[in-house]
Amino acid sequence: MAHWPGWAGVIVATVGATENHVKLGAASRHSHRSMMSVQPFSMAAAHEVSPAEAVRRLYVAHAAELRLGVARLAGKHLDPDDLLQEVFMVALRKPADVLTADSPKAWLYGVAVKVAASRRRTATVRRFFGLDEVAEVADAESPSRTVEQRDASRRVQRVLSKLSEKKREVLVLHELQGLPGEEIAAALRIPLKTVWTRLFHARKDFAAELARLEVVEARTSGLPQERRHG
Amino acid sequence: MDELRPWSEATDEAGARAARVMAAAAAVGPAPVDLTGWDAVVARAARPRHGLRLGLAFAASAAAGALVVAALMPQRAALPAVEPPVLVAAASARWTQRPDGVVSLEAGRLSVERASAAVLRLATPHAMLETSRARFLAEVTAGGTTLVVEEGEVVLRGQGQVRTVRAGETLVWPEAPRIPPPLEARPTALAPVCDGAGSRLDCLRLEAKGDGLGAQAALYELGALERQSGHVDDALAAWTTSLSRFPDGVLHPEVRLALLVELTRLRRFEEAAAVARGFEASCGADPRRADVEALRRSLEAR
Repeated sequence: MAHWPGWAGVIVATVGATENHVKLGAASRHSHRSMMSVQPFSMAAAHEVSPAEAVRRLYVAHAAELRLGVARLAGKHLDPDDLLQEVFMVALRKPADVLTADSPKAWLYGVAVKVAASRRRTATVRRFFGLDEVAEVADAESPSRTVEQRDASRRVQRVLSKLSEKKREVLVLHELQGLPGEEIAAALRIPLKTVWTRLFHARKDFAAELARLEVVEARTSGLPQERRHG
Repeated sequence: MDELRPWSEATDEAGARAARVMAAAAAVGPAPVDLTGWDAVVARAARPRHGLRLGLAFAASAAAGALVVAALMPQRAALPAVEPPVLVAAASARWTQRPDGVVSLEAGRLSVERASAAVLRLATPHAMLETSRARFLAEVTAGGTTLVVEEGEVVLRGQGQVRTVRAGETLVWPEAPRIPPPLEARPTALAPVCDGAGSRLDCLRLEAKGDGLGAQAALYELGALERQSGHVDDALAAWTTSLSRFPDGVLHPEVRLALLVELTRLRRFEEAAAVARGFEASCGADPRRADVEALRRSLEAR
């Protein structure tokens, strides 16, 4: 800490180191879906390293989960590695913000949401003008998934693309990424009640869209609907 | 809204079906990430942002757009030069032109012979005239500014008032003050000795050379008759003679009032005001003193 007095000053001036450590410990419990074997991020350790190193440790701790999350938010046509790099570029440029946040993971998800939304819009415009060829992109999901899981994932992505941006965000963050309401509220900078309200409507819309999709798929495939559901 | 129950507890069929599909998708874990990707993040972050390039591109686009607009805009025809008005001053006129373009006429006559679209401002000791596309004549005397408009219209500003004088109209500014009616009522035929004379004027002139009350009456009536005949100067001469010869005579208040009214009508305001002051000083008990004082004040204000 003595080597980076400016950064240390920000930490001390805003929240106490102990409090930060406790909150980060609580936040790290929500990363249970990560399949990677990584060391949980510790602010206590971060205090002894440079800001860049602290952000790197966040990368090590959350990169895989965030890559999957930002890919789900952005859709299948955007490169998840590129999106992930952009998220952590923002973190590198604003280390004080991410490292002093109540939940660095929620902060990163907040950036991921904005990056995904921005890139989706840009891609839509570029496609409209014929500037962007849709290329095959790397899959952010684990290759060890079952056929049923892959099919479910494909349907979810198709239905999510039909939802509004706000509903898609809460649905991805809560139902797919497993973030609790409080972290979603922090990431999206909205009240907690708004999170639940959006989620309620998002579930309804999702269920309706899924039912419609399955009807369409059943008709186009020629298979009876009961078999496809069964 | 409070925290929602887990979706898996949904009771409706569509909700339960959606929750199952969602749970299956959520169970898929993330693909492993090559942690050397961090080096790519650092390398990208070290690159300068595109702000400068974008700024230059925007500036170039804006400049190109401005050039295109300028090239496509119809060129406006050059406005014809405004010809200045032609002013003609009388030989006795005293006039100058100020640096701000205002023509100042202090005395004499000046006319605009050729109308022009250019705005002409003419200042006189009594008013400011402003016009364009008008022909007019202005004359400045001690009594005021006379304006005769031949074409167009002229706006006159003076003494906090604005007047518009149109073609064919004449205005003398400042306007003469209103003469109170009690001052205009004058006795006539005061010299009974001339009642039977063949020429009353000759009789009065002869009587005026005498002395006493008869001469005073003759002089006063002589002035009144000359005034009625249009010989204003002779009238003024008769009354002035009367006052010089009989300053405290019986008829001096009537003579002073006659002079006051006539000088006011002639717009000789300073002389009229002097006569009024003389009346106020010598006729303090006269019931018409208040009217004379009011007239004198309005004369002095001009």
